Amino acid sequence: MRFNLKKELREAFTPPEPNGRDGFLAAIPYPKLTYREFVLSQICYIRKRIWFVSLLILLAGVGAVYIVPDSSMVLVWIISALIPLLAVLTAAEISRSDIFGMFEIEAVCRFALPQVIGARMIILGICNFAVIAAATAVLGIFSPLGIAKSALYILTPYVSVNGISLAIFGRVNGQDGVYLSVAAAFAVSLAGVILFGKELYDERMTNVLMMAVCVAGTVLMTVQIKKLLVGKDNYYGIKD
Amino acid sequence: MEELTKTYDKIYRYCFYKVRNSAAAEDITQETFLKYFAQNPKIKRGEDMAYLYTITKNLCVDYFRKKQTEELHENYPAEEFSEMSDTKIAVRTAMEKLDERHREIILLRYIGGLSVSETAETVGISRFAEYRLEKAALNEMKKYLEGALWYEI
Repeated sequence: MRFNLKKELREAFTPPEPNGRDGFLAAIPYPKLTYREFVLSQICYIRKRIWFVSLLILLAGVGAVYIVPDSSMVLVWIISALIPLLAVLTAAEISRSDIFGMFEIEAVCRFALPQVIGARMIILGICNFAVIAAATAVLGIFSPLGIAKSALYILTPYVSVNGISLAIFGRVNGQDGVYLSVAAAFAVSLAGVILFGKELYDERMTNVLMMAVCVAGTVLMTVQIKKLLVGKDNYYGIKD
Repeated sequence: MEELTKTYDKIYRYCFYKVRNSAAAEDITQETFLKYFAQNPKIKRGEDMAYLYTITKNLCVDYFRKKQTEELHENYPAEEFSEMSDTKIAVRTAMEKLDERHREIILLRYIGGLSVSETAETVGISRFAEYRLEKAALNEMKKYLEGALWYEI
C-alpha cells in the first residue's frame, strides 16, 4: 500500500463545510484598495496650506532670483528662512492626531493610524523633496555656493526644524505645541540669517557647524518618526 | 474574492482543528478577518498568512480561556465517524501523540497550508529550525503509523 502522509493529513482533518462563509465574505467591508491607491487617496486629506506654502517657497525662490542682485547670499537667506515654515507645517500635518487629541477616534477608523501617517509621510516626503530639490537647484545655479553647499544650507534648517517640531508635538498637545514649534522654526530661521549675515564664523567653521546640525537634525527626525509609527503600532498591539 | 475564500477555508480548517466545533471555528475565523482588516488597508495577497494565523491563534487561546469551565464537544459530522477509515483514525491519533510544537508545525504546514517561511514566522523560529522540526514531526508520525497501519513510504 502506497501511503502519502501529507495528503492523508489534509484528508483526516477535513472540517464540516462552513455555513456562513459566503455571506460573511460578501458583507465584509473588504478594502479592495491597492497600497498605491490607498496612498493616493490620502492626498485629499492633507491640508491645503501645505501645498500653498510649498508653492510659495518655489515662487519665492524663483522671484528672489530676479529681485536680488546676482550671486548674492541674500538668496540663500531667503530660501533658508522659508524652509523651516515648510518643515513645521509638515511636522504638524504628520502629528495632527496628537495635536487635536484624535488618537482614540482614529483608532476605530477603517485604516490603522500608523498606516495613514505612513501614507501621508510618503506624500509629504515626495512634495518636500521636490521643493528642496528645486530650491537647491535655484541656489546652486544663482548663488555662489554650488549644489553641495546649497543642499546643506537648505537641508539643515529643514531636518532640524522637522525633528524639533515632531519632538514638541509628541510631548505638547494642542495649540501650545503649534506655538512652540513655530517659535522653534522662527529661532532656526533667525539663527540662519544671523549665521549667514553677520559672518560670525569663517566659511569652513560655518560648514562644519551646519553639517553637525544637519546630522543631529536627521537623527532627531528619524527617532521621532520611529516613535510616531512604532509607538502607535504598539498601542494597536500589532507588534505584540 | 476567490483568494479570500481560499484563505477563509484555511483559517477555518486551522480553527476547527483547534476548537473542534464548527460554529466556534467559524466565529473565530470571521473575527480574525475583521481584526485583520481593521489594521490593514488591504489584504496583501499571500503575504500576510503568518499574521492572520497569529491573530487566529490568539483568538483560539481567548476562546479556551472563556470556555475553561464549559465542556467542549467535538462536532465532526456524525457520518464521518462511522465512515471514517482506519487510516484517518490512525492519522488523527498520530497527530495527537505529537508534542505540542511538532503538532503546531504540522497543523500550520499541512492542514493550514502555510509555506515553510510563513510557518516559521508564525511559530517564531528560523526557517532552518522549522525545516528540522517539521522533518522530525513527520518522522515521528510515520514511526507511529508504521506500527498502526500496514504501509510503506
